[in-house]
Parts: sequence; C-alpha cells; structure tokens
Amino acid sequence: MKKISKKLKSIRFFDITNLAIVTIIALVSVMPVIFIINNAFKPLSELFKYPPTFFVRNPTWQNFEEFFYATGETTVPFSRYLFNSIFVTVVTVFLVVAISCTAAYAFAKIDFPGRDRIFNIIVLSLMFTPSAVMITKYLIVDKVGLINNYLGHILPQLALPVGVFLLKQFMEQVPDSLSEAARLDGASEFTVFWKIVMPAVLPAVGTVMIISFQNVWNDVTTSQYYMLDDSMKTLPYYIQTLTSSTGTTVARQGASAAAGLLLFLPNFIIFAVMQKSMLKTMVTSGIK
Amino acid sequence: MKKLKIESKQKIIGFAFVGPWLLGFAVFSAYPLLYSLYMSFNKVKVSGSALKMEWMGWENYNKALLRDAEVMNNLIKVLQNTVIIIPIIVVFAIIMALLLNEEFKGRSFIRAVFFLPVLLTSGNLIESLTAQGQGTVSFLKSDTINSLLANIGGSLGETLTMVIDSFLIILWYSGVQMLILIAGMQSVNPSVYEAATIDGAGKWESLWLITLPNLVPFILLATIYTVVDQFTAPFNKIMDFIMGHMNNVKTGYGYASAISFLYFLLILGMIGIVFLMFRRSVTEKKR
Repeated sequence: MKKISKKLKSIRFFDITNLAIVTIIALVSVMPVIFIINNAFKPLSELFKYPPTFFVRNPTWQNFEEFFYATGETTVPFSRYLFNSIFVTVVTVFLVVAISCTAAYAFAKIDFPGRDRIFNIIVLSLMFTPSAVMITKYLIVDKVGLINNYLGHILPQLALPVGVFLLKQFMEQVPDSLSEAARLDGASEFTVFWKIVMPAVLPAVGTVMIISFQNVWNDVTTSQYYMLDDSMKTLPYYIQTLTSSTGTTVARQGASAAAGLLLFLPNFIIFAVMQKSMLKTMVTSGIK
Repeated sequence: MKKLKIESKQKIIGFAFVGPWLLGFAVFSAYPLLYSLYMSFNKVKVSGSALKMEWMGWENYNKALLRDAEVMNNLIKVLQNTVIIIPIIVVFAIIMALLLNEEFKGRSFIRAVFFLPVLLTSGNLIESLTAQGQGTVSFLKSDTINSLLANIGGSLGETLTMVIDSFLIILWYSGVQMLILIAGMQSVNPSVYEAATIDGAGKWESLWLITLPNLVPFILLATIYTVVDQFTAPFNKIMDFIMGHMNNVKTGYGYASAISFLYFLLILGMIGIVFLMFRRSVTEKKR
C-alpha cells in the first residue's frame, strides 16, 4: 500500500516538472511571435526607436491602413496576387503530397528493378544546395516554355525530395505481413496503398503537407525568376517589393510590418489544422 | 511462367507509382544538377541570351582548392558552426519530443506553440528578427527584455540573454525534427507499453527499452534532416559566397558551380559519418 502511494507521488512529480519545463520553453519560443504581433501595431516612432521596444506602447491600426492603401496603388490589383498565391499553393501542395505518397509507397513496398539506386540518388539530391542549380533550372523552365505560366510556379516544386524521403521511412515501419496478407486476399496494389499503408502513416503525411506548404507559400524565387509579367507573381513577392522599395524611405516600413503579420497568419492556420488531424490519427490508431 | 508474369507486373506497377514524381525529379532536379556539374568544368560566359562555354578541365577545382584561400576559410567556418549545433539540435528535439508525447492538459496547444518558430524561419520574417541574418536575435536588445534581465543582475543577466539567444536558434531549427520524432513515437503500438507495464516495467525502463530503441530509425532521420537543413540554411555564409561568385563576371557560373560541388562533397561526408555512427548503434542492439 505504501509502495503504491509512493509510486503515485513520483508520477505526479514527474508530470509537474515535465509541465513546468515544457511551459517555460514554450514561453521562450513564443516570444518572436509576440514580437511580430506587437510590431505590426507599432506607430512609426516606435518602429524606429533604438533600442527597440518589445511591447507596443500606443497600439494603432495605422500600419494596416497604410498597407491597404499601398495595395490600392499597385498597377496589378492586390486580389490578383492573393489569388495567384492561393491557387499556386493549393494545387502544388495537393500534387506534392499525392505524388510523394505514391512514390514513397513504391520505394518502401514494391520491389522493382533499380529501386535502391534511384532512392539513393534522391537522398543525394537532398543535400544539394538549391542556389547551385538556380541558373540551370531557369534554363530548363525557359526551354520547356513555363515562363509566365502558372505551371512555372507549380511544376519545378513538385519533386520535393524531403517528402518522399520522410514518407518512405515511415512506410517502411508498417509491417510487411499486413500488406502481404491483403495481397493474398486479392487486394490490388492500389488498395494496399490506400487502405493499409496510407492510414498508418497519416501523421507523416501531415508533416509533409506542412513542409511543402511552407515551401510554396513563402517562396519568392519562382516569382522572381520565372515570372516576368507582374500579374503572374505571388503575394510574398509583392510584400518583398514593399519592403525593399522602402530601403531609402521610412514611409512603408509600417505597412511591411503589418504585411509580415498578415503573411504569417496562413502558416499558422494551416499548422493549427494539420496539428489537429495528426492528433486524431493518434487517437484512432490507439483504439485499434 | 506465372511467376515471371507476376514479377513483370510488379515492375509496371512500381514504375507507375514512382513515375510522376520521377519525371518531375528528372526534369527539374537531376538534369539541372548534371548540367551545372558540366558547367563546373567550363568557363561560362553570358553573351546576350546565350551561354558560351569554354572547357577548362579541373581548372575551377584546382583554383578553389589550392589558390583561393577564401573558399577553404568559408568551408571550415561553416563546418565549425554546424558540427557543434547539429548534436545539440538532435538531442534537444529528442528530449522535447519525449516530453511532448506525455499526456498532460493542453498538450496540443503547447505542441502548436513549439512549432510556431518553425513557421517563422521559412518566411522572410526571420530577416526582420535576426540582426543582419547572422543568427543573433535582435529583439533581445529591446528595452523590456534588457530591463527585465538587468533586474536579475549584471553577469547573470548577460548569460541569460546569451542562453535565450542561442536557445531560440536551436528551437527555430528543431521543430520539424520534433514532428518526425513525435510521429515516430506514435507508430509504436500502444499495446507494447501495456504489456511492459503489466510485466512491471516503470516509465524509465519503458523509455530505455521500448521508446528509444524503436525510435532509432527516426533519430537517424531527424539527424540527417538536421545536417541537410543546417548546411543549406539560407543565411549560411557559403551560400552568399557562392551567389557572389555567380554574379561575378570574372569567375562566373562555372567557378560557382565548382565551389558548390565541393560543398556538396562536404555535406555528403557529414551524412556518411552520421550513417556510420548509427550503423554501429544498430548492430550493437542486434547483439
């Protein structure tokens, strides 16, 4: 009896210290976000103060007003940038996840010739610095005729090596006996993929979705290099021009602080949603 | 005969599954890579819209390795910085993943909070947060934080600023690894833990005997991700260096490609070391 109560106590102690550590670290990690939110509401006089203030003293909506005013001034309507960004991101993320999952499945579960060699090449390419292929990539995009085309935003981003790599590693942990049994029962390869392997790796799919969303939503390079027509460029590019054109003037600094917060919000929402679905998969697999 | 049919069917299905991905990879990754490998043996001149190549053999590599001291200096600097931070990030990610995998109230909220900094690093926001992109956090110099730390006292306050500063950097770059590890922990069948508890194993024992051994492949994965992530981080000095040479008319794209291939070999070496370390731990486990 005494032993049991002792054990209970130790567990509670463990939980409390655990919670304390996690909370402290979470507080520190949330600091930059608080800083960004505060920045967006700072009047110009506070934005340029040195040393900078952490919290805003006199919060105003001025920056947002300025931002929306600036968006009204562009030759290309702001809604166009927004549409481009949303369209490109939705299509790309969907396709990245779809082709990464099927490819990873083939690498993990189907025995086809040259499989390991091809996978090794993927792992190698993972390590290659993106700036090194910038110019040659441009040459290809030009040659294929994707300049000023939505496909120029989408196609070059599809073969995300990290996605296949992560998913393959997770799919390998799904026991082969399950898929073998299903095959013996006459299930097609696609059924095995869709009904057995995919449900088991949903948390990893969520991770890949988050990573590819980050890549695409924040990307400026495709707009910068492959899109010559301004009406084909995306939101982050527009916001970057907002910031860089303020290099000499003070005028738009406030607008870009507000824009920074607005651009960050979708990242946050996507993560919050994906996080929830990841937890759900954990619960369902626990019931099984 | 029937078996052969099945095998060729497997082939077709296999390629059908990989096909779309492989096509994108071949066109937009493999081909540009080989093309720039070819360029690294050339002097590349831009004349109008066309590129002119002049075969140079190993000249670009010779120059980078033997005559251009800046290349070596930069490579060594990057190596020093990353080698220290990689194990710290991985160990930190493991510990945090273990803590976050525990049951406690508000767990999902806190997990989301942990991932927030990762969302920041990928955007251009990080530039406004870090001073000149050198990896120090500018807002720590702000008055609120400073006065807060000044109250704690001189040297202790200073050390605290330093700790928080490097801590934020580690946090920023360990989010994805935490996700990988948490997902890895979830792939362990909960009934294994139940069985262990029934057999009288405590929390500590199941951590060492069940969680960690099952986690080894995912730790390897997280380590590789960290190595790649750190070596190809946009504020890495070598990146600016390569870009500088790319836009430099004198040295040009050929030389820049040669340097990036040397850098690539360095990263490859690092990954090789990681694999060797993990191979040992895996074979030890088997014994």
